[in-house]
Amino acid sequence: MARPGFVGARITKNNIGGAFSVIRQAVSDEMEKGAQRVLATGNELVPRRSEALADSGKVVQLGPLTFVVSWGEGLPDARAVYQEYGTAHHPAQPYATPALDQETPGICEGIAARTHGRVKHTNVRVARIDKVAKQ
Amino acid sequence: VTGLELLVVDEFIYTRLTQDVGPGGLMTLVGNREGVDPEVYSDTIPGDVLYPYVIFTLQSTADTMTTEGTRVLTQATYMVKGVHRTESYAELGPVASRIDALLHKASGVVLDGRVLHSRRLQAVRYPEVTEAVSYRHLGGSYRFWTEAT
Repeated sequence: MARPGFVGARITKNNIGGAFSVIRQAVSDEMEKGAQRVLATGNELVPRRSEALADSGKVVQLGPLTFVVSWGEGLPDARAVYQEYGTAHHPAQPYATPALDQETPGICEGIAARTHGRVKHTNVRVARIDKVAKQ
Repeated sequence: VTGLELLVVDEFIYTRLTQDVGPGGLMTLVGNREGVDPEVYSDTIPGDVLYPYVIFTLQSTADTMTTEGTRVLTQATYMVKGVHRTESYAELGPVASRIDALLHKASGVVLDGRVLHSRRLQAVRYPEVTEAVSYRHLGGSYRFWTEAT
C-alpha cells in the first residue's frame, strides 16, 4: 500500500513536572493563608464569655494540600460544639460555619490568581513531524 | 427588603416540617400537645418544651450579585436538628430522617418568596450532658437558595 506522506507537528511540554511543583506550592500557600483567614474571621465571631474558646482556635497542616481549622481542642468541655450548634436549652451562636462560608470564595480566587498563567511558562515545544514517504 | 429572604426560608422550613402530618410524618414523631403548636422552633425554645423537638437556626448567609450589584438570590445555611432527652441517637433517627426527606432537594413557594433549591451540606450529630441530664442532637446543615418577591 502506498504511503504518500503527511504533514503535522508534535506539540510537547517538557517541563510539566516543574509546572506541577510550582502550582502545588502556590496552592498550598493560598490554602494556608485561607485557613488563617478562616481562623481570624471565626475568632471575630466566636462568643467571648472567656477567651478560652477563641484561644483554642488553630490551623493544623495535615498534608501538603490539607489544612484543618478547629476550635475547642484541649478545652474541658464541648463548648466549641455547643456554641456552634446550640444546646438543648440555649440557641446556637455559630462562628465556624459563617467564617468558612465567608472566606471560601477568597480562597478559591486566591488559588486561581496564583496558578493562572503558570503552565504557559513551562517550555511548550512545537516540533514539525512531517514525513514524506520515500520515493 | 434586606433580610426578607431569610424570613422566606424560615417560613419554608417551618411549613415543610409542620405539614408533615401523615402516618410516620414528622409531626407524629415530635412532642405534641392538644391545642398547642407543634414542637418545631426557630432559634429558641419555650421553657416547657416537649421532647423530642426540632429546632432550626441560621448559620450563615451570602448574596449572589450581578457585576452591577443587583442581588439575584440569597444562599442561607441553616442547621436543622432533632433534640431529645435521651442517651441514644437511635431514638432521634426517624426525626432526622424525616427532616432530611423534607428539606434535602426541596423547593417551593411561600407567602413572601420562594426557595429555589435546597440540599444538605453535612450531617450534624453530637451529645450533650447538662446538669447530669443527657441529650442527643441529630440532624444536618442545609443550604437554601432563595429569593424574596
